[in-house]
Amino acid sequence: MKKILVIEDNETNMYLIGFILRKHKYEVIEAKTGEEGIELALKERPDLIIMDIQLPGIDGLETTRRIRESEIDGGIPIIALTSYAMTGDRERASKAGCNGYIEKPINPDTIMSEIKKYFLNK
Amino acid sequence: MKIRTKLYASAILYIGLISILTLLLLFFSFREREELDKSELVNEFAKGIAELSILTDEYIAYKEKRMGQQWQWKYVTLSGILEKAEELIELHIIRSAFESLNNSFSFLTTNYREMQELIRKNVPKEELERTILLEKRVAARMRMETQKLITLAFDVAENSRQRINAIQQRENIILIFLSISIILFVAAITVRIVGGITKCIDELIMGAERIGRGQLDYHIQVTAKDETAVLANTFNEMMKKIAGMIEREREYTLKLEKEIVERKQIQEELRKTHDELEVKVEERTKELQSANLKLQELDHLKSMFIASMSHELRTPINSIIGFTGIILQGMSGEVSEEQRKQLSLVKNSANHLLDLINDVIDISKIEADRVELYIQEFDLSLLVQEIKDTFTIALEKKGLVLLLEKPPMLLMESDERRTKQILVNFISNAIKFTYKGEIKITIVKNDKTVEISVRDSGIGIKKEDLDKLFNAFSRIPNPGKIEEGTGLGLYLSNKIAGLLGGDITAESEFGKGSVFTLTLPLEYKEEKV
Repeated sequence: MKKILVIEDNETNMYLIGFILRKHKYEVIEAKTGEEGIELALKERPDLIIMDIQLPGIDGLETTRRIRESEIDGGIPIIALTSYAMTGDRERASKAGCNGYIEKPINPDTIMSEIKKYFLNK
Repeated sequence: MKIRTKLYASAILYIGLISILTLLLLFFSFREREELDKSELVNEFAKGIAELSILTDEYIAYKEKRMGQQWQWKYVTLSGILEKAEELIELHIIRSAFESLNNSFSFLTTNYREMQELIRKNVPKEELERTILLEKRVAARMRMETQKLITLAFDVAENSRQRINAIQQRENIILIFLSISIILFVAAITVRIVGGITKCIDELIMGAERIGRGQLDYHIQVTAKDETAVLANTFNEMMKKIAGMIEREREYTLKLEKEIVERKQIQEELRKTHDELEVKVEERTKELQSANLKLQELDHLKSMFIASMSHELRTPINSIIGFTGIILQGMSGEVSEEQRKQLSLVKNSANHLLDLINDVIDISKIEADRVELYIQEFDLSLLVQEIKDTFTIALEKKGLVLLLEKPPMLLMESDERRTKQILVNFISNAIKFTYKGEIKITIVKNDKTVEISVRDSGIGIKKEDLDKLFNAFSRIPNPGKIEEGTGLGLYLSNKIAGLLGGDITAESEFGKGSVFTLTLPLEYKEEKV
């Protein structure tokens, strides 16, 4: 069972993503802040991280950078959750070290195919 | 009297005086000459008498006839001289003495002839001695007489000379007196004339000086009635005119000065106004600065508002979309057909609302010049392919075919996301307004630009509506079905195309279809923003 770490502060979103992932037989680890996310990423060693860009405290970009800096075996895919209207999130995310992005709103019809792409790459 | 007349008159007077003097001199010299002639004649006569005396002595001694003749000739000559002299002076004494001399000589010659007769007659010696004695007596008397004559003649000559001297002396005195008188007279007249003229000139000079000192109304008075008076009058006339001119000049100057004063006042007022204005401007500037600061704060607040709105508004909508999606997928359990239909309406409405929010946020950013562009190289062919793929379901639903004509690869430098936004707008519009037939996307690469056309066989747009196409919230009336839309799509697309240095053109034939073409530079140029 693949482990996916979801770092997201909004509970509704977290529930939505978690619900979809669990339905598709993934183990979901939840983190509500960047710091918690880093801690869990190092501790749990997830197979994929879904990272919300807009986080309270240290934001998703900073969190990504810190994870990338501390990463030992290199290359946990990190997928950024970007907002459509926040132009530049995508570019900034890839600069910070994200492997891809999923644009909000989360489309249950397409999200799984997007996620699966990153497991195939690994 | 005119100066000219005075001068002419005085000149004539001078000439007359000099002429009189000259005539007097001539007269005097003539008189002197006469006196000299007299004395010379008398002198000559005296010398002749002396010679006659010698001749008498010689005759007495030698008694030659020839000598007697000589004596006679001499006597006649002397008589001539005496006559000449007598024309000039009274010479009674000399005349009588001279005539008696002749008588004596006649007696002498007669006595000599008697003596000769007596000798010839051989008269007694006593008789003869008487004649000889007589002869001696006569000779002695003659000597005396000639002596007397000589003395007389020399006396006359001396007298004459003395008279000449006296005359000369008198003449000299007269001449000197006359000369001095003439000189004094001339001097007096000259002084008088010159004095008159210089007086007038002085009056003129004085007047000119007064006028020169500024007493412009001074009237030059000349006592004489000559040319200076004319000059003074002319001068006065001239001064009257000049005074008039100066008066006008002064009036003009006064006017000018008044004007200058007025101008200065105006300038002063202007300066005051200017200062006041500056103060006001400063105040206004301060007000403006604070207003600007407030505006900046407001602008910042607005940006913050937009950012937070975009997040806060979308989050719940995202949830709605997400969960309706999950339910529709059946992840939460069985969904009936009726429920599916209604949930789809919820999802579509939520999606529409999200589109609307996104468009409004985009517009507010564009209008505030806050659009951030992310220029990078991308493959347009690939992008269009991806866009095409996202519409597969929508196309299937409407039974439309989407054709794509593109080069295998087309690298360009621009904002990929914004390009996509425009093309999505084009294609979704095309699908929206097309009910049968096909939609065709064509990508044409030019030298420096790329043209992406989306052609549909839809309802088309009326000519009069084409211009309104790119206005915000302009919904072209669509007969029949009413399609969902924000009314902002083409307006936004057009704005974004402009930001990217390109443009959008639309062609349409009502009832047959439309073509929307996006032209973009292959390489985005910074200065366009």
